[in-house]
Amino acid sequence: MSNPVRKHGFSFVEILFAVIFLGFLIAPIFSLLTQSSSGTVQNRNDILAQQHATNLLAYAYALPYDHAFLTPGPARVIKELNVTADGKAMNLGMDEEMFTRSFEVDEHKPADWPHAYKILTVRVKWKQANESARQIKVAGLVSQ
Amino acid sequence: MKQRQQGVTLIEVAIGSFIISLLMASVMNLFGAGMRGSTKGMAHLTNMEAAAVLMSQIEYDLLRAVKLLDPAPGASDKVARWEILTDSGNGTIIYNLLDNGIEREFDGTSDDNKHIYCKGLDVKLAFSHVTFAASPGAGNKAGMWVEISVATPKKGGSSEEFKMKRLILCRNIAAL
Repeated sequence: MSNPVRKHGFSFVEILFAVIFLGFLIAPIFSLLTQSSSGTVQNRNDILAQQHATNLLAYAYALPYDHAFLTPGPARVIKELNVTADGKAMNLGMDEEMFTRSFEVDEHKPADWPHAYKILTVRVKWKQANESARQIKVAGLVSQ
Repeated sequence: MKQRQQGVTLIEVAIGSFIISLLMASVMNLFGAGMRGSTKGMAHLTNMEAAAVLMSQIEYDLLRAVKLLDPAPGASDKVARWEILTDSGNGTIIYNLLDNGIEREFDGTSDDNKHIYCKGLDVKLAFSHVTFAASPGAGNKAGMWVEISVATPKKGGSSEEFKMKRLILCRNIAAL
């Protein structure tokens, strides 16, 4: 009676499949780590964009109604903005290259209302890490 | 019938574990890089969150301010003090820079409270009391230029920092 010799162990192909399968299992862990950092960057950009928009609007509120800065007109790009109040210099510009900020002033003089008012719109646009565009808009109103 | 020897030889085990260790080393390397990036991101997130929370509290307090006491107009300081109006009367808000954070103290007629923001982080803070000249006859407008920098304490030479700067106009202060 001959006992057929049974081959023990794994073949190369079996191991290859196992390794590939394990690779697929591990891949999501790495993508999770990269995602967390891109989420942080996105969060930071949102906060900074909000800051740049609000700073511009706060400066606009501080000015007299007829100030040259509040001349009605189409949206204009404002990147650098150095202002001085009371001898204190403030840099309201944007240090980050990715942001584009525009400022629009629209004046309204309703016939049935004694006061004119201006609507101020600030838009901040930037590109996210995945190349998609994002923008925020903050608007305000100043009256005489 | 000859009994076939089962099992693996020492050489086979040695070669196997050598290959596995090579694979593991590269995987651990990759994983370590990922973890370092993640920790850095977490530190940055902590700073951002702390700075944003503090800034919104300052903004909320300044919008309620009726009188800016410190710093004086045109001056800058890391400590600030102003009067606010609450439902239960007037009170004083004090921001004070500590070694491990920023203390906000509310000293009111009926209730007091203290809270430390950005606890355990390296904070830099500057308040500048600014006045904007308005059109003639309309009076000036008061505001505060607030600069915050929050950093995680240095660990192994690297430190994450997040900076914010805000111009906040005190809408509750009558024209000066």
